[in-house]
Amino acid sequence: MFAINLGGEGEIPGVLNQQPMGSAKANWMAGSKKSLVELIADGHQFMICPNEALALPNGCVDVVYTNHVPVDKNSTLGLGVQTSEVERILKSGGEWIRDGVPFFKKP
Amino acid sequence: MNTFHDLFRQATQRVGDTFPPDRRGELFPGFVARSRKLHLWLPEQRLPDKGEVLIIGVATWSGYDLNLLDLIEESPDNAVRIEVLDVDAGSPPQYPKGLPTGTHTPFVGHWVDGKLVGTACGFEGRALIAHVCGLSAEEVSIRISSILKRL
Repeated sequence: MFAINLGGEGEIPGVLNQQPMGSAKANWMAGSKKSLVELIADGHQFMICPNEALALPNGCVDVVYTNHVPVDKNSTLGLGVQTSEVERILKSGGEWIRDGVPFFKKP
Repeated sequence: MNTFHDLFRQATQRVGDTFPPDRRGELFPGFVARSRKLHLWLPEQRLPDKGEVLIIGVATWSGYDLNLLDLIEESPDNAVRIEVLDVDAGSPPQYPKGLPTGTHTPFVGHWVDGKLVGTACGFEGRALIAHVCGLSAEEVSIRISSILKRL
């Protein structure tokens, strides 16, 4: 099963964690106060790419998690997760879990 | 909806077969108005010359930030005036001079007698709030780790 966690505070173990481009800067710290290098050393896997252009092909993900992130909104902290991108990367039958709630299932 | 956690859940509370539009930013000022301890910071507002003020910039889509506001509501009374603002309100948003911004919320500034004595964002911002409001770090950690389990 291929699952991805799109941005937000708190990495999910065993899941590919996406962060937007700003996280690649040397001074970036996760909500846990750890750097990207420290999180990778802890065993987390990351994909760094913009929210509006996730670096994944269509229909390849079984589960998308989004926790504590703006959705379809241009926040002070950057462009939020885009519903269109979540729907694009999900497989048919794949699910979007938003803030712990089953939010969308792709037909 | 009574608590800030309820506000966090507004966009993920199913109504029939669907979910409502995200209205958390729009609803936030009303929640603050009903609060016992929190005051909504307005851009034209000036800081008082006397007394202790904590200004907290929160993201209405962050369960971390909104649950922290609930913890402040539940905390013992003290003399600190607590002002809050939605970091995404206004275009462009207007923050009080000296309030820090960073890659994570909350954005926190602490003033005593009109003088800025502490600033922090994200993880450290939560620690500063806990310190000023008399919350234990453990209490904050327990609340935050249980957010997604609570509907």
